[in-house]
Amino acid sequence: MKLDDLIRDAKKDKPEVDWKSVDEKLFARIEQEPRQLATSDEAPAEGARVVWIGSAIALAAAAAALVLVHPTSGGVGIDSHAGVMGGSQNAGIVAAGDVQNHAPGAQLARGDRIDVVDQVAYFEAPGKVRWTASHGSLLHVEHAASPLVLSLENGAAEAQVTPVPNGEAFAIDVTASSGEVVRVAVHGTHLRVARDGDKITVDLTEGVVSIGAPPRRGSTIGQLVTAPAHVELDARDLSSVRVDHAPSAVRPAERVTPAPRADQETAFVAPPTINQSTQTLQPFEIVGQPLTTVTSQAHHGATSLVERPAMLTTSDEVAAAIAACGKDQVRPNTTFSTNLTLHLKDDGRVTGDAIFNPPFVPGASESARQCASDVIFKRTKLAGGTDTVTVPIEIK
Amino acid sequence: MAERDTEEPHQNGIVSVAPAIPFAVPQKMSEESELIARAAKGDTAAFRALYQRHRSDVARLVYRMLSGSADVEDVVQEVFVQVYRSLKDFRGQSKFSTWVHRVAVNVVLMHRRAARSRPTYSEELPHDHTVDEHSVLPDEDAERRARVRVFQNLLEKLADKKRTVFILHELEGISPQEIASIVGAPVLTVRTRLFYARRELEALMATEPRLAALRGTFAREKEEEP
Repeated sequence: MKLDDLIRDAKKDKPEVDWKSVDEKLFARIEQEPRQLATSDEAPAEGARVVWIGSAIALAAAAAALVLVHPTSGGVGIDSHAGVMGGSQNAGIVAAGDVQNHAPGAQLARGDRIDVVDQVAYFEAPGKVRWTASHGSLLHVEHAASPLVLSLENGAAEAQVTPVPNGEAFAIDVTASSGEVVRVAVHGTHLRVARDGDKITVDLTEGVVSIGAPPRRGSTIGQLVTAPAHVELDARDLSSVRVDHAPSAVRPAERVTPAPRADQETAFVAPPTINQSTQTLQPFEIVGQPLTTVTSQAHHGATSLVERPAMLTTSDEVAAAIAACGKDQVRPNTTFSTNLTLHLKDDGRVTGDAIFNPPFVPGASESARQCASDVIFKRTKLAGGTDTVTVPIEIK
Repeated sequence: MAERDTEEPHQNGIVSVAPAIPFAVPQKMSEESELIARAAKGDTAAFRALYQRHRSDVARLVYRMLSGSADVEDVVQEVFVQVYRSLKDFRGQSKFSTWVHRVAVNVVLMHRRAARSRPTYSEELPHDHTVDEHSVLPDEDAERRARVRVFQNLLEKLADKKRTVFILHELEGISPQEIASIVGAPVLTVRTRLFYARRELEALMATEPRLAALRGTFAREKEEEP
C-alpha cells in the first residue's frame, strides 16, 4: 500500500454536516454581532497614511499578532516565543525619562518593574525596538531575549519595532481582571497599546495585526488587521475585537525617541506647539511630543516618521537602488552582474514576476532580497516604459 | 528530522509572484464581488449567499484538518463568523475562495491549539480508538474507513505547517501557488513542506502496524476494481 492509495481513500471521506443546525446557529450569531465600526470602502490613500516606513517594512514582514492566552496555558506564552528566535538577553536601556529605580542609561532585565514617573519615558533595545511609556504607566519585563515581552499593568506603551525576518520581535501582554492574557506581539511595525481596565486599545499605524490563539511555536496565526487600524477589545473576550480602518480613527504615531538636544545634529525639527486646552487626554494617553521630520509635516492631522523615498523613474535609478540592496552580499573585490526583466503596467509600475537572470546574488540575505523586492514593487515607476524592460545591474 | 520551514533563497531568480490579474472577469466572479461588497456593508442576505456558495468546501477542509473530529460543525460556524467579521478587510488581492480558505486554516489551527490545552475528559474516547461507529456498513467500506482513520492518525503526527500544506495540496487539490497565499509563505517553502510531509508520512507508514493488517483487504479491493 502506497501513500497515494491512502490519499485516494481519504479523498473519498466526506463530512456529514447538519447544515440546518449550522445555519441556524451561525445566523443567530451573525444577528448578534455588534454593528461594525465605520469602515472605509477603499484602501486609504497613501497620503493619508499616518506613518510611511519605506522599504524597511514589507507588509508581510510587519505582521503583528494579538494573542489571547488562557491562564491555564500561561506557560505557553513564554514557550511560544522561546524557540522562535535567538538573540541576546538584552532588554534594552532607559534612554530618557524618570523611571523609579532606573536612571537613564540603566539596563533593563527580566523581572524589572518599570514605573514611569516622568511625563513620558523612552526606552531602547538597540536595533530591535524603541518604545515609550506614559506617566503613570506600570510595566514589567517578562522576557528579555527576543522577543522582548513587557507586561502592561497600567497605562500605555508605544513602540517602533525593527522588522525581523522570522518570529516576533516585541510583545506586550495585558492581563484581564478575569485572568486571561492578551498579547500584542509584533514582527516589525509601529503600534501603541493602551489599557483602561479590561479595555484594550491598539492603534496600528504600520504593519499588520493578527488576532488569534498563541502559537506553541512559530508565528501567531489569526485574524489579520492591516494598518491603519484602531482596534478595541475586551481583554476577557477575544471575540470582542472591533476594528476601525478609518485613518481619522487611528491615533497618530508618537515619537519613540527622546527629543534631541539643541547641540545635536538631527533630522528632527522642534515639535509644534500643542494646544493643551483643545486636547482631551484619556487616562492612559501618552502626553508626548508629536514627531515631525524636516521634510514631512503632518498630513490629515497625522505625522510622518520617515521621509518617503522617491520613486525610481529610470532604469539606471532602479539598477542603482538594487545594487545598493545587494552591495553587502557580494564578496570583496568582486562584481556580480545580472539582468532584471520587469513587466510594466501602463503607469510604469511593475506587475507580475520580476526575474533576475542569473538569480539575484545567490545566498543573499532575506533583508537584501526584501530590499530588492521593495525597490521593484514599491518604488519603481518607469516613465514611458514599454510592456517589458530589461535592466542590467552590476553589484560591486 | 530537521524541519525545513525557513524561507529559502529564490533560486529561480523570481523575486516575488504577484497574484495574477485575470484579463476578463468571469460573470461568476463579478457577481461574487458584488455579494462581497454588499456583505461587507452588513447585507445578511448577500453573506448568506456567499456562505452557501463556500460552506461545502470549508466543511470538507475543516473536516480533513480536524481529522474527522466531531467539532466540524462548530468550527465551520466559527469560520464563517470570522469571515463575516473580516469581510471589510478583504481587499480582493486574492480570490475570495483563497481568502476564505486562509480564514478556515487559521480558525482550525486556533481550534486545534485550544483543544490541545483543554483537559481530556474520561468519557471522551482517545483519538486513535479502533471502534468504528460505521461498523454496520459493508465490510469493505468499514475497512476503507479504518484505513482513513489510520491515515488521519499519521497526519496528526506531522507538524501543523506541513500537515496544513499537505492537506491543502494532496486532499484539496490546491496548487502550491494558491497555498502560498493561504498560509502566507513563499511558494518554495510550500513545496519544501510538501516534500518533507510526504517523506515523513511514508516513513510513518512503514512503521505503522495497523496498516499491515489492512494491506490484505486493500489488495483484495484493488483486484476487484474494474
